[in-house]
Amino acid sequence: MIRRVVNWLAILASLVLLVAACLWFYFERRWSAWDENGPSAEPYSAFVAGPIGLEVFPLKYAVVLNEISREAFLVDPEAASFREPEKKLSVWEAYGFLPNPASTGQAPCGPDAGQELPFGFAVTDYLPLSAVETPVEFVGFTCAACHSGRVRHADGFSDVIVGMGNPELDVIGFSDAVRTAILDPELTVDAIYKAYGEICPTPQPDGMVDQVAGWIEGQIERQIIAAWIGQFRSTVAEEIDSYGPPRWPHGAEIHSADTPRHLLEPAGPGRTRPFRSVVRVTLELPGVENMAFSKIPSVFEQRSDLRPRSQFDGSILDPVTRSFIAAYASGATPTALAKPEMARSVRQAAAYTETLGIEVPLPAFAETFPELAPSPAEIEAGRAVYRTHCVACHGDRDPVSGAWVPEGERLHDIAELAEIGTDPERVLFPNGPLLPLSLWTALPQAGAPLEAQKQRLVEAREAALSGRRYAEAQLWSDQLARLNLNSRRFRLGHPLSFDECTGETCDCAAEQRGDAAPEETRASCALTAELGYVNNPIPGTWLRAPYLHNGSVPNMRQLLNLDDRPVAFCRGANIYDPVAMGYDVQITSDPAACPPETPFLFDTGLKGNANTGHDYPWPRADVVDDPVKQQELDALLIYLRVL
Amino acid sequence: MTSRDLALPLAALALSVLLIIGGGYMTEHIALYRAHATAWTSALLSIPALALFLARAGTRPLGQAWRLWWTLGWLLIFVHLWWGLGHLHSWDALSVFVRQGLLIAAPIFFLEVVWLIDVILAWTRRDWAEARGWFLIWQWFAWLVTVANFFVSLVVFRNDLPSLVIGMVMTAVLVAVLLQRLARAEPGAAA
Repeated sequence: MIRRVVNWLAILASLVLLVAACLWFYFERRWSAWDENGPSAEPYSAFVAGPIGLEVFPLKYAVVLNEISREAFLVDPEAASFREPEKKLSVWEAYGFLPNPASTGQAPCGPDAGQELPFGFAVTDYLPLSAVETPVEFVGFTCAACHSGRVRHADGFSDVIVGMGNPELDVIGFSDAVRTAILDPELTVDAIYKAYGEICPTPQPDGMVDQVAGWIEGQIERQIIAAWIGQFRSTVAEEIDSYGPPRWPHGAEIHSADTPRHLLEPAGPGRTRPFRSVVRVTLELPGVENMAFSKIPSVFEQRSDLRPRSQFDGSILDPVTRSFIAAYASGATPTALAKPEMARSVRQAAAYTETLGIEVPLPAFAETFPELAPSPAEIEAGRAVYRTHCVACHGDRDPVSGAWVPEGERLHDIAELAEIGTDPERVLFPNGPLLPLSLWTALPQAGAPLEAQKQRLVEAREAALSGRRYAEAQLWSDQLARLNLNSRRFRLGHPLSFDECTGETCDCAAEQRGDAAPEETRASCALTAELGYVNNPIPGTWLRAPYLHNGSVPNMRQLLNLDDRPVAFCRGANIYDPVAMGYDVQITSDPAACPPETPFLFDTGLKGNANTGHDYPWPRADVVDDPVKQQELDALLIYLRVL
Repeated sequence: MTSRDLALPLAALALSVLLIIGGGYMTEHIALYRAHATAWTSALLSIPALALFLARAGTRPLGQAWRLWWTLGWLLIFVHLWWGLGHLHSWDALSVFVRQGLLIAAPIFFLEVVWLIDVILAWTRRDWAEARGWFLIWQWFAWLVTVANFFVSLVVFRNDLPSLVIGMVMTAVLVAVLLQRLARAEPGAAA
């Protein structure tokens, strides 16, 4: 009798589980249905709101982050907003995120919560990393989070300028701070819900059925958020084992209590360390020694005839590949980027950058600073100087149509380091020559191209072995294993995979050992390793400050050597100086002297920060005592306002 | 069919489904995990059926347990098709042949069909438990196709540790049952 009862109980429990499983599968299919008319449907919305696999934390945590993780982000609870002094400084503002122009100023509750978060944040139902859809809303970055900015002038701000690199965004600091915050033992599901309930009180639904449904939904959400906390903590713990602990914002204790910020996390506002990230995600190497800093670039006028190769070093051929690598380096997994919505977002956002500044107009300097609009005579005088000294490398705008003309005998050439003289770290970082092959094989193709990917990895391993570079050979073995695994995940080829060679004949392996790419390789290989910086057009010059690839020169007067380039200065929420065309910075070598709104000391003496080079038309020594040259440069500076 | 026949197979199926659903959330690629997990659990659930058949076919009635384990094993291999062909290959069967080659892809599809037919026969023919003649030959054929497929997939290809472990367990159980059957078949053993 007892055995029969046990049997029937087992049958009943099994049936309940099976019915629940069927329901779960049913809901999984509903959750995974994506809106084909959503943000990824068209280029602008894909750029500003399309998910690209960079989901970071649950929406509920984003809503309460200012309340429960403020200390982890090292934001003074008493500090006042830089923008609106009567308000408290938020974590978002402290790290340089832009307020959303669509914000109504309400608490971020309900279906429109996303618009109360910073500009460039998307609310999606994708889990971080795996991009599995669940009923829980997560917050992720879009392209616009980094590639949108505002001009902060003495009287206020410009509108948000989409496509401009955000000069205030401390994205590496924020990313380290998120990792620190997740390790806070007091960060629990209960703490998130308690704080959320105070900001967004949720009324009890009427009726028994709605109450039960709401309870089940709430339990699922709590479990998923709890799992996210656990999984994220494990990931950070693994990263600490591999790369060391995040040094900002609480790394000072690891060092010494008074270690200044710029020595802990040296990227600072408006810059990233893209190749440390790429080396980590692609080669699974720590990249700790990687000081290849890059300012967050503006992405104007990326059409392929104007800009056939992307990046400051011209190492990427196709805009979609460029956007994929940007998302991948920022933490998006191949699994996430294979989701149809995300792959489409990447493609559409890349397409947007090809039209931005051409079909989609950019704000003109004269609209923002009408009192400084150049006269036709000033434009003519400055243009003459520009065409003498700058057009060969950068091209020029047609004065009638306003279109950028890709003219100039050295346009799109790579200016070698010895010639350009700018900081070399961006192109000389360790393991750089390994990246083209590693990145190409990160996304498996299908059929014969997949076999070609495998063959290239085998050849690279054999070449390393025959050169007795055994460690490198092991690395290629690991890359081959990764490709094999990914080819099983993406059986039909990854939707963002690309050909190594776009021409009829290529020798994309030729540069494996770190020689500069030959011309024919550069013309046809999707990825190259370069030893210089590419000469490209400079549309929206006034929005590209601070200048040089590493953002080491605050304004154009200094870049043109009309003024001395500062050795050390404070960065953060700097005021734009339209006369100097760039940022007004406090010059100091004492980090304690930097004011709260520009707390980061940019020291050009540190590795990767050099402000040397690009001494065009003339070096500072030739300008300083030559009034004629100064006059020409003044004219040139005014002309650059209209480019 | 009694509650005793039903309880264990149903519980095993429910646990398998939990593993398939829940485990997917712990991995980076849910579709690949579920394609694997459905194959692992299909193999696990069919081990009792394969062993019972090997022990009894042609000599004793197969019993309800055989039919249930055999059916649930098939059910999970059918779900495997859903994840493998549906999710990983977007229902493009030709791409499976292109990617894996005829010699690997064809037996998998063949197994799906043969196993399905055998399950249908097991639930429609009166003599399913004591087959004779061509029907017994067919059952042996279905058994062989299944064992061969699982052995090659799990042990020969051994894509991951769970596959190898399950494949080795299956092999060990079947070898043990075969030896037992052979021992029973010897005249002296019966005494």
